[in-house]
Amino acid sequence: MDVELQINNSVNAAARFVGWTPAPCRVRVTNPAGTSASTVSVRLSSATPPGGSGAVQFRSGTSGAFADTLTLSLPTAGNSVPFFLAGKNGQSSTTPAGVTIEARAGSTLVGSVNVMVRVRKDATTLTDAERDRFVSALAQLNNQGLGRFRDFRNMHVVAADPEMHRNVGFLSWHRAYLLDLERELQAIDASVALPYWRFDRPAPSIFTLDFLGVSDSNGTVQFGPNNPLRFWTTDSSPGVDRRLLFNRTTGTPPGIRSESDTIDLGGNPAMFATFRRMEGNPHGTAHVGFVGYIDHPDTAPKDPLFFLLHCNVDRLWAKWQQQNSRFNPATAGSFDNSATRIGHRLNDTMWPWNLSTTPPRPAFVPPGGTLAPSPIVTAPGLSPRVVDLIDYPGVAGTTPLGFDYDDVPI
Amino acid sequence: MAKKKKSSRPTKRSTSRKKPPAARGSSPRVKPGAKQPATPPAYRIAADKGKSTAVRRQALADDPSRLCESTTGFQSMLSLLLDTSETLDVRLGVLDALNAARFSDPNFDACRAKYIAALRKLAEDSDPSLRERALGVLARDQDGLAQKLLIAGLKNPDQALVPVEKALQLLKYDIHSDAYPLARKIVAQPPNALAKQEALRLLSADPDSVPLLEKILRDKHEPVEARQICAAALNANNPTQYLAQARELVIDSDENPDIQSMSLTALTYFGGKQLAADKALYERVEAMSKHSPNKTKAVAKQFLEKYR
Repeated sequence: MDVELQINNSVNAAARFVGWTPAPCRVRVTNPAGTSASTVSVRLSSATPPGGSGAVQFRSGTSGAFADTLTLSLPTAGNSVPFFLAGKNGQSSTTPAGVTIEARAGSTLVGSVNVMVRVRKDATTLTDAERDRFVSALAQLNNQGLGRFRDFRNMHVVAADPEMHRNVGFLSWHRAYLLDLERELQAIDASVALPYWRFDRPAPSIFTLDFLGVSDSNGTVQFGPNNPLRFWTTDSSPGVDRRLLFNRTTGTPPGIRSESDTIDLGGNPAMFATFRRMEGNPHGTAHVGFVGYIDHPDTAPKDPLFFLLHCNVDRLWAKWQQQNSRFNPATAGSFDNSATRIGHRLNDTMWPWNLSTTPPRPAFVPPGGTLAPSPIVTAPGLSPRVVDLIDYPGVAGTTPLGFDYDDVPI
Repeated sequence: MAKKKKSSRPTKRSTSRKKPPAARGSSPRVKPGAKQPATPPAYRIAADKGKSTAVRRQALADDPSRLCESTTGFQSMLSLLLDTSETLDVRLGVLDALNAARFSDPNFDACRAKYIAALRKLAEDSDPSLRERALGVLARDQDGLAQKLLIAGLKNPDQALVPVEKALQLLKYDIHSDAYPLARKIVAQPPNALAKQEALRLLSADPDSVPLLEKILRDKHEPVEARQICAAALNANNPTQYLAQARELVIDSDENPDIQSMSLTALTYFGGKQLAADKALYERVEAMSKHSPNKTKAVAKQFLEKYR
């Protein structure tokens, strides 16, 4: 007998990724040989393959406790039976081999599939291999200045500043921006998730020749000879300008607000309207902890560090949301409805993904087109609205966006 | 997906219970004709010369999103920035706060002109670090005056506001053709190694400099750092031409190991399918996969895997 396991309800190998958010899955009998009964009992469990890592858990429905195994009754006629799979909090995969999901009828293995527990991680905790896969994907996306990364650079320019900064939609816009980039990276290497730079702690392992480079005395970043970021090019200019205004091994950007103080910005009861002051400090303060590309809104995305900085900004929002149950936009305090400018109200679409050139949107052709799709989820759609980025784990009844953070449990 | 129950896990909360600040609106906080808001407390502290530098710096970092909330408060910060009797540390703190406000203050547009004017004054300050920081921000703004000052400094060292290598680095943000002859001159007669490297980087945007970049890249007597810059510059200028050079550099077994590693990395990541048919290159990389430092071996194996 054989069964087929579909992770994220797909047979596509590109869909075999889960985070902490429960992923909808299916199992069905594809070859009933060896049984004449109308149903067969199949037990799902997991195992660590050679070179694998991570841990998962199972649940039959949309609620209830997860368990290490799950027994299902499958029609031998081939009808699919749903179940849910999630990574175990704190046990993500560090290797693409991930975890093997096994289906057994009795003691006989009747089906298996490998799944990776993929979440966004603290960049200082990446293994060398994880770091190298991320750097490799990023360098390929840049492709010596000729690649798709140009669109990401061109989205974040001063002419488009009102779409993304200094207003209520700042966090939603940047969440969409990061998601778009991450999906493009995953189209190159599906095992990659965007790491974050935890800027309120020293992070010496990020500023190294093998990762995001070491600045020389003139503030030009040096990369190791085998680091493909050596060929990083933006605006036809090679390299990255970045000088740290803090000690590379022991310091943090001057005056940066700690994580706990950032979470507390929201107050009690937690209100997004006050939490979003984090756009000033720690977000702005992190940017100006350097001299170089990243200290200016127009040139900031020319430095790859920008995406790790903003990944941490987004993680802080995610953590605040999780700690205060602020995923439902209808809940008071989950959002701030004071915006008057288009692009910042809940049901406004966001530039550039809405492809709009109607004033007051920027007059130039929106770079990059619609938001990158995902093989594992359908949200937030090709032209997301501000509201579509709020409930990222899908706990308030929407479809998840397909990412989680290592230290933000769901 | 069906609606989920909220998690019953206790949420982690900080033990700090600071009084929440007032909610911030999304529109500029000062409407025309309205009474001017008072200077936010943090900026009153920052302006207080009786407080320690550390306290003033922390106050400046507290909330950049409010820097332009009050005209009086903003003006006091500009005065502090340009006050040559003030400590350098505080002045740099003000500059950081202003730069952070660009990212976050909803009222920043109203302050922008005065901010730029202040930076232009700072570009000619007596303190070199302030000059360099101001010119950096202005260069990234593609400010015409900053360009003129930088070019003037390269033409006449007596007028230089920043070191040569810094001027070249900043001119890159808005390259005008008059920068290229200056950069080529500096390559030929560099005051120091960093200046030569920055000049080469600047020339990556000049199609006429391709022969110069190739020449330095292939010259084994040139410093490795300069050759590596030329590799990146040539790659930015003409990737196809660079990859052709990279192939030659990998095949040459007498070549510097770092140059070879860098070249092999380029071919591995950005080379085309035609490399699979390049027998001489493949054999050379096979040898490198066995007899090189570990990191180069790893890239060599990636190459062999890709072009098998």
